[in-house]
Amino acid sequence: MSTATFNPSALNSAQSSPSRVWRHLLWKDWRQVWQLVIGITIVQAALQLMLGTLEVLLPVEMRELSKASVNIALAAPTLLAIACCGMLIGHERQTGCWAWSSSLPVSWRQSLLSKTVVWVFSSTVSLILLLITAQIALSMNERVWLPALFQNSSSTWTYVMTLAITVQVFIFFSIAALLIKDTLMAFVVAAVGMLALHIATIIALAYLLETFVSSHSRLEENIILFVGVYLLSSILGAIGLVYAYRWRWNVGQYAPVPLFGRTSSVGIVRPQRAAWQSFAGASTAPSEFRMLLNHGMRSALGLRIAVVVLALLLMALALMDRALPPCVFAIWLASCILGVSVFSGDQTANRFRFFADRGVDWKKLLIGHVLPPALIAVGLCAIAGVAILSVAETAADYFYPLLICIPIFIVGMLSSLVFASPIISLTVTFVVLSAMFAINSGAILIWEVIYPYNHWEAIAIWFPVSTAIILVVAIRLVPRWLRVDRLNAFITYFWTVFIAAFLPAVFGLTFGFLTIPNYPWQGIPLDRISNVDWSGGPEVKPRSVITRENSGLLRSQNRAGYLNESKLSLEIKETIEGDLLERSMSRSQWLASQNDLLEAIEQGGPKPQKDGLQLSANLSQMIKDSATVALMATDARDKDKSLRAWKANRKLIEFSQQPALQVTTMEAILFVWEMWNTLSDSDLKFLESTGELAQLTPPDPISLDEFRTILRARASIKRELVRLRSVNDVLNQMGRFGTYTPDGFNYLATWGFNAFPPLRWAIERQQSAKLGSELNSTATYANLSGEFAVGESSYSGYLTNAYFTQIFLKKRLDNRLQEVRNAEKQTAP
Amino acid sequence: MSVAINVQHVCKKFGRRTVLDNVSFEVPSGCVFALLGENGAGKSTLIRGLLGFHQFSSGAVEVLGKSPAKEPMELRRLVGYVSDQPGLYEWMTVAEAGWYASGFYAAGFLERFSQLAIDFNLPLDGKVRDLSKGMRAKVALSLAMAFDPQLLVLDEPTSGLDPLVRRAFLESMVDRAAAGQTVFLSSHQIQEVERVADYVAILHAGKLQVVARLDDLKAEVTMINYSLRDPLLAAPIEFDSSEVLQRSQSGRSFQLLVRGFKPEMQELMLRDPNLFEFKAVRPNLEELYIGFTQPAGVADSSGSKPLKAVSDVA
Repeated sequence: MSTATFNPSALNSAQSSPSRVWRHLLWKDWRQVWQLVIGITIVQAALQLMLGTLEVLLPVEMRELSKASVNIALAAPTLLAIACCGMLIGHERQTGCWAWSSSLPVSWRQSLLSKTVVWVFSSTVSLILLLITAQIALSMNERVWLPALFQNSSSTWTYVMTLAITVQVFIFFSIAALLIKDTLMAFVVAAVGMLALHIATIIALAYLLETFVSSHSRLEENIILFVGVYLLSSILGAIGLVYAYRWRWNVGQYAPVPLFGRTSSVGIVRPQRAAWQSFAGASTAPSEFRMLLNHGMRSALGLRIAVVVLALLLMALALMDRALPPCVFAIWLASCILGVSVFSGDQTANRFRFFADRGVDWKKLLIGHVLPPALIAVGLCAIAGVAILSVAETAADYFYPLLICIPIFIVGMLSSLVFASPIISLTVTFVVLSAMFAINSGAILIWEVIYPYNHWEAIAIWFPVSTAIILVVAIRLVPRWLRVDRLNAFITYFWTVFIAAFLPAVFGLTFGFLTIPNYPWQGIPLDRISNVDWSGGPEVKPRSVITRENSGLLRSQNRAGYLNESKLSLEIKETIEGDLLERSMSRSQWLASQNDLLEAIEQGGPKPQKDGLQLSANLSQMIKDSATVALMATDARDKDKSLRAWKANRKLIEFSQQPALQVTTMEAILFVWEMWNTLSDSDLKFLESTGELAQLTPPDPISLDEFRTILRARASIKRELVRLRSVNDVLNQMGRFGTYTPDGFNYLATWGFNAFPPLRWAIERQQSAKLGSELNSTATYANLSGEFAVGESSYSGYLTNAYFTQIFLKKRLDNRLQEVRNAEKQTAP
Repeated sequence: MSVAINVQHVCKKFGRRTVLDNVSFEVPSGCVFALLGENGAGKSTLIRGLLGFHQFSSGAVEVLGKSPAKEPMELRRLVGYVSDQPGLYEWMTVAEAGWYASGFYAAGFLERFSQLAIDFNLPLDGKVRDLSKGMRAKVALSLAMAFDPQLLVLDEPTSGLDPLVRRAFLESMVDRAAAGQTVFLSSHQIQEVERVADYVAILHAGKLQVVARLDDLKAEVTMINYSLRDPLLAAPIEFDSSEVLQRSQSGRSFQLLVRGFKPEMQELMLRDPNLFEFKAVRPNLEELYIGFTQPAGVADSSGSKPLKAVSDVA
């Protein structure tokens, strides 16, 4: 018998034309990923446009979002690399489609090339579209052209490397997906591999440069070397991908990697089998919960170990660099994948039916599934907490990254329940989380405009509600998931994440106005102020009127109460002495050098300035400087210089009492009063010996009636403002007073936000607060900038404080002088 | 006569586990060849090796004159294959699946696929994800048969099909064989296979127990049932252990599956006064299958060996 060649009808099976093969392959691969590609692109574009819109709303100094929209565009190819590899290789392998595809007469080259083409095409188109939307987002605010962002060579390199890393993501993830059937596991292993490769490369390069090139050679300066190593590793990776693809295409989807031994090819539920093996030796059957818990622990165990390794590697990197972001990224990524791993293991091949068909209690199943990954996440958070502690600068830096892990984990869990494919649930989780992050970041920015004096973390108090919503929905879906063959819950998922994403922002902004404190000028109780017995000094004043940092003490008490008698003068002296020491200058030389200042004051004081704010700032500084010179001269017992400086100081203070300057120089005058109060008895005795003390001390503060008039004027303005009904009225009022400063409020008001009452109230209150401050300053000089008003929210309270403190300090100084004089008289012969 | 598949001394090991152990057989063209075996016997491993999805650890294989290891793509153009778990793309409709596959074959594929889909009552605009298991099997079969392959390799093809469709499908396999095409199938539906198979091979724990023309196999093996009045007395014939494929006993009643049972032996047994209720019948394929695969200890299969090489039978 001979082995025959076959009859002519076999020619019927001749090859199809190459163009048809390509068309069909590309069609299939594109159809496999198009929903993810379009979904990712649309969500990214929406984020960019949202950032652009927000930037329009924000004040100029807060407009830092341009880069973010470009970064979003540059991140798209990486996301698409994950999505394409996951769907075209990992998902095909997991669903068994690979077996059919590879049984068709298609060469591995065509198949690999088709997938690569689809990835390159979708990434390129998506990148171009997103760069266009980035440009639109940038143009919304100011005419910034994208190419301008690439003029900086370092940022250009960053962008280029971001895109270059994408290639390696595609290569590494593809290789991992070809070797490992579980797509999620493949993703994590690829990430670990890439990270390890890059860390090893950096360390090796640093060592080589240190050893062979130059001991002073810096790693950053050898970018060409970096590029070379990157190219080499990419080429080697690409060769590896080609070999791995050819091997997998030929052996089919079930063949084990020779190194790893045989894997099950009959779809045995491995976790169950492993769980059974662990119980096989037990004398009694395990309880249902124990069995489920054991299954939950063993399900995706390899994936979870890989996640832990990945997170630890990233944290090590963060600690090496002493940078917070990699550490935060590590714990967030780990939480996300651990969340997705809760149900994804059982989603594959409908493994959950094993439990469903046995009628297990869904609550036990849920706990058994959630507990192991949640405990791992908690453990990682604990480790990350230690790592972050050494890097974080503030408590917020420390706690918020860890707290945010909870919603991340739960979103991942919900995704794994709703989407059967692990790679889809992972990608959707990434997209949803980034959208939530962007939405709430935007909300925080709006918050900072509307409520500049409150902590943005107020929005974060709504995050537990969002998290609870997602958790409740996930819990309610579990019994449905077990009951039905296919959980069709995409709509539920969409609305859940939509509500959860917007809830903190909407609630925070809606009810944020409740957190606005009562400003001192709002309903200021003038009668109570007039009844205060200020002469005693330390009496407690009405707290809501004049307090500082909730200490319960007056501002002046806070300052004066903690000063010992000589602290201020000592501080000044020590500062100057230190300065002199550095400059190898004697005190007499320094005093001599201050003659110019004194001469300028004696000849006319501060020069007139067009800008009232500049004038008052110069005047305040001169008042402080001349007082400092006077203090030092007094300390040196330089009688002439001391008299001269104190007189100059007195002259400046008298100059500052004109209506245009008396309020804004109040702090400097307060400084002088405090300085007088901290002079030692010997200093006072020395000054009195000049016989001109009355001419040296600051003049008496304005009368109480005069000050009361100022406060009344402000109170009446406030009452007028709160009667106004809309933001536009407030804005018009501002325009009337000539203090109109365009900023985000105007946009908010004109964009129809005032139709939403809570937000309108918030804007009105905030705006009127700002306006009140501006009007207060308007009384002193015409062209006050908005900056000053924003920075002095409790300006009225401060003024009241400063006024009373001056009176208090004057009285106290009078008493001390009297005591000194009495003592002098007693000791006189 | 030409040979569609030629397998010689094939072994396959996964790690230290031997899945196929020295398997040899030949499949003539123009026949229906059934590969039988219990779960895990190595049927799918053998089939996938025949299509070049993996290389055997040792041995030589030739399919349609081509080496699966060296020319897998050429082979796949000639062979229609339906795996035990047809992995169709869930998002495709039936028509899209046909259109997609048509890109890799010569013209005419789509028309034949459409005809097969109509014959199988498949909804062309229905998504694969919405189809039942049986419907998916029909889609997979339609895709495999639409290019009229010279060799059709079917791994559990009738799993999920309803009886009527199964019968019609298997009968169509006979027609294919009559037209000179070869059908190589593995199945657990032994009764169905018995009706259509020309040749049968039984694989047990990686070893080929028998490969023969089905009719010859049936002619060569006899199932004997008898009871003994006095079980302490010896039976009139002591069969050579190599001839007994299976032996079972229930009280004083015995059942033997014997190879080469001759008429004179029957005469001898009938004359024995100690023996009553004697019956000798031709076994069906299921009985043969059990005889060749029943585990040691239950049945005496110590002498089971391949009866004849298929070439000898042919």
